[in-house]
Amino acid sequence: MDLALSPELRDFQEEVRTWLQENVPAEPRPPLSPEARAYDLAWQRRQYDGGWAGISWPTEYGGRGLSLLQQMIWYEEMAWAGAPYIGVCFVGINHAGPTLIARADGALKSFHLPRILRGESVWCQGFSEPGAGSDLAGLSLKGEVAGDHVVVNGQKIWTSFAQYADYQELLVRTGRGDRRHDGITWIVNDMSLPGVTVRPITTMTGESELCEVFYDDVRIPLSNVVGEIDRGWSVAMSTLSFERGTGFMKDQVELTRLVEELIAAARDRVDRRGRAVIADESIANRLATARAETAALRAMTLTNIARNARTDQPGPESSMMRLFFAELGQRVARLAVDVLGSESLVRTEGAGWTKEWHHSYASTIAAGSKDIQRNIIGERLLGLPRGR
Amino acid sequence: MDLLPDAEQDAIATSARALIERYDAPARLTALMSHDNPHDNPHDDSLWKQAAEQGFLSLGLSEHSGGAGLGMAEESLLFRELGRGLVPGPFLGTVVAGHLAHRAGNDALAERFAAGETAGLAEVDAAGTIRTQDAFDPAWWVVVAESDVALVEADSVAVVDGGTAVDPAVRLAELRLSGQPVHTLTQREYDLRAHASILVAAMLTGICEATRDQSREYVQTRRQFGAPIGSFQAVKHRCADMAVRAEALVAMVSLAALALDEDADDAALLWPAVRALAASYAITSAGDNIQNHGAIGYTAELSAHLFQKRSHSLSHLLVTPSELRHAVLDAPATRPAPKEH
Repeated sequence: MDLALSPELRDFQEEVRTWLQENVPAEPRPPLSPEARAYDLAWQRRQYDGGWAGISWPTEYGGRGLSLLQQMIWYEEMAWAGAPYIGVCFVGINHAGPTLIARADGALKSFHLPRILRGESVWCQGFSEPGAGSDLAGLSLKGEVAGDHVVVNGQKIWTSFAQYADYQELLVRTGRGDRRHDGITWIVNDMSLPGVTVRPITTMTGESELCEVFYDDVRIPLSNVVGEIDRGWSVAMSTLSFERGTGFMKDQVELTRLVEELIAAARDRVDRRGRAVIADESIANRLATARAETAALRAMTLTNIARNARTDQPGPESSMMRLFFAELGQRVARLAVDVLGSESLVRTEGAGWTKEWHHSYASTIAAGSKDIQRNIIGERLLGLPRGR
Repeated sequence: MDLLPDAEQDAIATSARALIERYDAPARLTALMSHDNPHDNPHDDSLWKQAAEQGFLSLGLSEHSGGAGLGMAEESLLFRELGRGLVPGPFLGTVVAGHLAHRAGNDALAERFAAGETAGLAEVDAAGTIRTQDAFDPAWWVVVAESDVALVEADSVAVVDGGTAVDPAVRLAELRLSGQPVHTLTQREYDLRAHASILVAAMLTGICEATRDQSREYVQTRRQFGAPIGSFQAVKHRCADMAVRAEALVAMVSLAALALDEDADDAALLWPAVRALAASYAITSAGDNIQNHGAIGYTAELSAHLFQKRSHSLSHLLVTPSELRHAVLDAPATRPAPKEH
């Protein structure tokens, strides 16, 4: 057990730090818009040109193939350098790309992977439906095999950035099976195909980062199927084993920095009565707790990485860190708004603390709600029996 | 950079746990409570002697002080087991006494603590009252004042009964000092509060783990409405939260222990932070554990209440919640910098 970095890793850290210092964009990310898409792709391209695209992807697919500790350093340095949020490139780099690497055939890989890395294509995720959220296996988007196409009809929802996406990882129900998990197919959808309609959804943040996507006789080539027809559930599950916890370093550092910013703000700001915000003991208490808990989150992130370094198969332990992070993030977001006082009532254009507070409601809903996370921890970690 | 114990560290924890399980402190404490004499000593020589023999009292002391030459990581692993096992006795006082003696240049005395000579921990408050939870007749006292710590021989100390404790594992008393301390160190020379706080946090972490595990076992077997109660979401989720708290603390104790050992920039934040979180999490988990057991959890027959009481006692050692919060807020903001290998 130690906190040291080897000389090689320290050199690597220097290299990363220098590159980021010279390359992190000076302008902030625009609010969600075609400009934001362009910004995200440009940043991805810059990373590609610098040799930093796909840091966790195997080198044979154009990635950097960094070790876990190197990835950890990369993400940590990104956060300290104020590197922008990955934005519309998220699904391509972190989800679709790794899935293609794990399960797709050569043609799909050689077409899509370089485009993702170079910031030339944007991906979105077509998983959730109005009737299938936490219960993803209940999905019913219909796919009928007709000749050498799959004809898709139905709807997806909560698709992030669909309005800016070129491709989509799409889960379709193509068959029947004894279990609901059978009969699902994982297929690459081209968002420009006839019959695809995207309708943005305005969220409580005022932005429209989520969309409905409608499919009206969309004809997708069979060659876009990843894995086998009707056996797509296992493809979707294979994505999960790619996530080794290193990406959390960025989130954790950003949250830590936010808390430091809040402490400073609470010292500098006064409330409507002219009293220093930090003089309010309840605010001071919450700030102290937040500072302590972001340190705990750092420790949990490091533990998770150490665990993943020892095993090929990430286990359910990471759910604990995810849950802790989501709920801590919400507490901090709310605290930020309380530090801000009545200024928090004003709607801001860019990222503001009130917008972040609104945005934080999603963090215990998306990508496994907090109740599902607790079920996973209870069942898979503690071995408690499933309920009804 | 690895926050998980290595094989040698695991071995220390495993052998400590085996020793402690055989001792069965909860059973002894429960038996004690059913006696009429509240002054029976729950602290039994048998475990103490074995612990000393296995070097558990001096893991972090250098070899020429009679120690194993290890560090805070190993000490924390031991104290986690002591907490998990609800072990009474002056472990904390004796371990810090060894460090105190060593830093005062008295390795011969440090060796005696390593070998099992006992030291109790006591604290002076603003009114000058000296209080302890360790009145088991130790040979020495470590008296902690606001800015210094003193090592005092027991025969220059009068021990006045401090009342029967609700926690059967502690012995409350007030001390009256006469005569001079054998050694006194300033906080700069030995930050005992920081060191002890991490070890206390480790004990509270053990309590979080033990209560999680006791709950987990019970809710798998206890059935109501035709099903194990662990299958009900409310119960399951409560247990999940216990698991999260334990995970957070195990990780953070390791981080804080390493940071303090290396005198890292963020040690000043990490020790009060882990101490504060541990106190809060342990009492919450102890309460959840009682809740999960239903009415049985409310009795003195089950050990659940002992975890609650231990968490309570530990929260009052050497720090106030308010000064912990101030220490956390006032610690300088740092970018944790990795050390050279």
